[in-house]
Amino acid sequence: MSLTAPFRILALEVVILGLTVAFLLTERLMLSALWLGVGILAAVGASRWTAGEDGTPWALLATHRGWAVGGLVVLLLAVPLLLRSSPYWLFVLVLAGVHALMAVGLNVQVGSADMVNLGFAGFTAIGAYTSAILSRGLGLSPWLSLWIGGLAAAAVGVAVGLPAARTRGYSFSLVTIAFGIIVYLSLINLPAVGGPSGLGSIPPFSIGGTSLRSALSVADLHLPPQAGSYYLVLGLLALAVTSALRLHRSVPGLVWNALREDEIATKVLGVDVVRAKLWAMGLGTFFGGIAGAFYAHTVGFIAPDNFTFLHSVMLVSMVILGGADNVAGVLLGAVVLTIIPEKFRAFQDYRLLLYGVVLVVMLHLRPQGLLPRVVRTYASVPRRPEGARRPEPVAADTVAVR
Amino acid sequence: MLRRGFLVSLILIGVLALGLVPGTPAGPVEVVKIAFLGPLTGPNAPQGLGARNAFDLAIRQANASGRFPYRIEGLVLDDASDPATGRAAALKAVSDPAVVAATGHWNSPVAFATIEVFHEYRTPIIIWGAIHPDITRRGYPEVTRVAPTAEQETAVGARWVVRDLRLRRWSVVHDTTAYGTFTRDAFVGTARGFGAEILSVDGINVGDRDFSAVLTRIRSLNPEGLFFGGVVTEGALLRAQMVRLRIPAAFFSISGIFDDKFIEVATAAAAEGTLAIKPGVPLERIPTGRRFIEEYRRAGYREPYGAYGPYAYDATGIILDALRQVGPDRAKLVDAIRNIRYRGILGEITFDREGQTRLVAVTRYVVQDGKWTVWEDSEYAKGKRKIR
Amino acid sequence: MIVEQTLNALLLGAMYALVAVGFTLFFGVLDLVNFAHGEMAMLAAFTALSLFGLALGRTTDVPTGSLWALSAVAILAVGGIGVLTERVALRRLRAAPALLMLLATVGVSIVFREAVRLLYPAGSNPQVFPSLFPKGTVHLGPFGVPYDTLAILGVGWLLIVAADRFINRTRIGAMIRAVAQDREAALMMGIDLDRTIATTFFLGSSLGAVAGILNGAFYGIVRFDMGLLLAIKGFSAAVVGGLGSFYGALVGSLVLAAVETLTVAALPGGSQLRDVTSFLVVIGFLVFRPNGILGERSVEKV
Repeated sequence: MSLTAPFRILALEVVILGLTVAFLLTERLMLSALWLGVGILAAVGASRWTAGEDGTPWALLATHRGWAVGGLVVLLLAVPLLLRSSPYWLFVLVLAGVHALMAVGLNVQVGSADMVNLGFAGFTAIGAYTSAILSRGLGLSPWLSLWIGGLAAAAVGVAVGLPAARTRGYSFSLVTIAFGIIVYLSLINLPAVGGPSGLGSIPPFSIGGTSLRSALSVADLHLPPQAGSYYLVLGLLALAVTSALRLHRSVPGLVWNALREDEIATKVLGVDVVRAKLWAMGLGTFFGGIAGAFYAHTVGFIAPDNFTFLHSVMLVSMVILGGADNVAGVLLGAVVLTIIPEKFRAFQDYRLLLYGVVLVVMLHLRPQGLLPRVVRTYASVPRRPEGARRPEPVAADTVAVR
Repeated sequence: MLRRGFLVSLILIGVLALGLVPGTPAGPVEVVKIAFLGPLTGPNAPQGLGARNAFDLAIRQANASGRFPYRIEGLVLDDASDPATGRAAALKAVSDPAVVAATGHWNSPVAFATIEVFHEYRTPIIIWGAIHPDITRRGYPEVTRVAPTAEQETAVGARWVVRDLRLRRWSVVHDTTAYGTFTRDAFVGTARGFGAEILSVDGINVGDRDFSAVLTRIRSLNPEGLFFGGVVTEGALLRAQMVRLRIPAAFFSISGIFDDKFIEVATAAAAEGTLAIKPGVPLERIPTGRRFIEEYRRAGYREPYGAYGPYAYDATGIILDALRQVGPDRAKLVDAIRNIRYRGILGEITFDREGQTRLVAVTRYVVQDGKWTVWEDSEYAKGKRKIR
Repeated sequence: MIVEQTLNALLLGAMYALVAVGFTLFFGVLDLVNFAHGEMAMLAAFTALSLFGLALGRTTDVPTGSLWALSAVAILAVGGIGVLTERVALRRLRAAPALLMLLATVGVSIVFREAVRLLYPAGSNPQVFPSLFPKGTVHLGPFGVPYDTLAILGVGWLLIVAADRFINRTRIGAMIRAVAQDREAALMMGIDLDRTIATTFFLGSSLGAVAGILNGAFYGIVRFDMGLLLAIKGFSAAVVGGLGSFYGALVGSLVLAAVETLTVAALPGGSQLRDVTSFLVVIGFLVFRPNGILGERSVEKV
């Protein structure tokens, strides 16, 4: 048993990755639709193939987490080699990584704490512009200004959170919408930050003089030009995901979920609700700011039009469609919702229309998202010792009092 | 079960591995591609589509002429007026080994984003529509431009309205897009150079329709002229509301408003007396232009070639000419294009040190009786009608 | 100049109010923020344009009576589209968390916007909309108020009063209010939930449709993307005035319009900042008076 499980997991990951790459690289629309279809079928089949003893799909991934994550990491590292022939698709994957970073941040707000932030693009803009201006104007290293950008976004996030924490539901969303639009309009009307033409010539990340935007060669291996950025975004994502997961599993995550379930009850229990909300705002926007800054240095050019209300909507839909409050889910949502519209660029004109249709359809078919909300397991009730049977865990959504 | 799964996975992986091996084309070049990038969707689609059609026309003619030992194919990519999309499109173009050169862009922010890519991949790109002066000032040898910049265009216009027509007191309204802001800057700079006084500068958003508040304030400043930096719809609404509010100033703008739709939206009565300049010369007046019009019509495109179709046509023509000179080699094409002497529709095109065309031909227009009339032909120029 | 700017503000306020009223209806009754509401306005304008083209073939030299009749048809049609939208896209999400319905309306708005852009000939371009009002000015003392401005102000006011009367004084209005107050109790009283919600959507969408037609007729231009900004402004106005109150929608709209006009008129270069100040005011209201100016002070019982 212990041999087949890792094998199945690795085989599954290789197949899915292979299909994804094939999907990306085929030029012909029909073929890519075919790969997509095969991929979906494969995913369904795989969910059963990796089921646990009781039939829960994907259970093996949970029990053999080490293999799953390890295999995934190795495969992800190999992607630039597979996409050697197409720097364009590698760039799209980098973009997917940026969106994934943003989604992780937004998930803290929307998914965990039910704070529907519809102006997230504004916060990422602050991270992007701060980092760009610092490195471009003051000559700061992008490695440093990246974090400053994140902190700036976090600071603004908390600042916006202070008044917004008192509002609830729709009012909160409207405050964030208004904020996002104010950021957009301010950027357009400030010539100091480039106005509508944006900021160009943003210095790239570089290691020892070599820009990460150029084609790297490690030993004898020639990597395509976007590979450096790809690895960097993977690294940032790893950091973000680890932090998000740890937060989710510890007290802050619990408090946020409690907030989501019943804010008043949580308050009654003595939790400082305002502080929890501010933390959600600050942390979420921190990740968003980092993502925005990373984008600025990778593409070398940012403009207010990169950060519109529609972008905020797209980010929220990535979180919802991927699975709110599920970190793996939002990663999936971000990647899927970045890759698929790019692939179907052949539909060019119909892209946005299809997006709207898919959004509505997904909300109907699978409102809980691609990956379900994580069920918290708390106590393991030890059974009376009867052979080698494993005790059954007691599952509860949260500890909120209903 | 174990063995079966194992076998299946092996087979699948094997198939995929085969599929992933990039095929290397061998043998003589059969297809050479030229990339076209422009806004085919979004608010600027009319300009992009017209330019794309002209690009397509040039390529079709090249293939039909039999002067190339290979087939020329156009790779049309949408930049959707968005820098990130444009950059992705540029990457797509340069990573296709059959693409030897590109022509692109109506929106300057998009051009700013993509020229980095073209420079990095040493692929020539000729700008047919983006008019921000700095695009050719980065020092990239790959970048050239066949259209005049906003500075060149507006400078001619300012000299006309401020110096020749002696309108000294100006209010400026502009939209908050890149186009609006740098035409504003160009006008303010050059108008002041001719002795104008700028009374006010106000920005409006694309999509706004209500300018009564800002116009009411402008009226109290008593300007002799109102300069608008922006495009057709807002310009037309502004003009109509200005007339409704009885502001007796002249209304001047550059090519952004030059469209029959301007007159339609503002109504012919309100649009009367609007001044505009447009890059280029009326095509009907020159034999090369008439030929282009006829060939375009015969090709049966759905969209009109617009203000920038001829530029896209010439840009493609330059690429094709350079192709014939040095063959499908990106590096050689960069030099060939920079140093070219090309007989385009509008005249002979050469590029200066920055890659900017030396050919600046603009025409001045006024709206007379519901139609755009060349200034020199109009009754205004002859003194029979007054602007204000 | 002050009088004129006030008039400008009043008119702008009326335009916003026309949209805000619909938002109030949806929110007050169904607890729903309907982001697709702005698209109803846009759809009405484009439907009207299509009808003008189909039935009349031209929009000049046509008796205004015909234009008005066709516009009325367009308004009813859009009301129907609203009902259809609810049936197809939103009904199943009634039990789901509010966020999903919100996102669904966002998705629907994208679909409508893009559909018009793609299906209407030259949809991406702004379209000329004929004026439905007689030309001319009414002179009140030294000031002239154009007929169309008066018409908008008049219709806006009428609509709000009518909406308020309808909701508060008719039987159907009572059913709608019952559903708004306590859905389960209403069901127990035998009210047909589906029918009532459908009626609400019909009404709300029709109100939005009227807004769209008047908007188009006054400004002379309609764009496929005009719905989004109208929706955001209308929503903000409704919230500032107090979601759930029709007069609140009016007050909120006037407040926003006043702020915007003041910014443009008083600040040099203020025209660009007009939306910024507007939204800052919205944020201010949301923070310090989350129930809006005329909103019901709701106390949440635990």
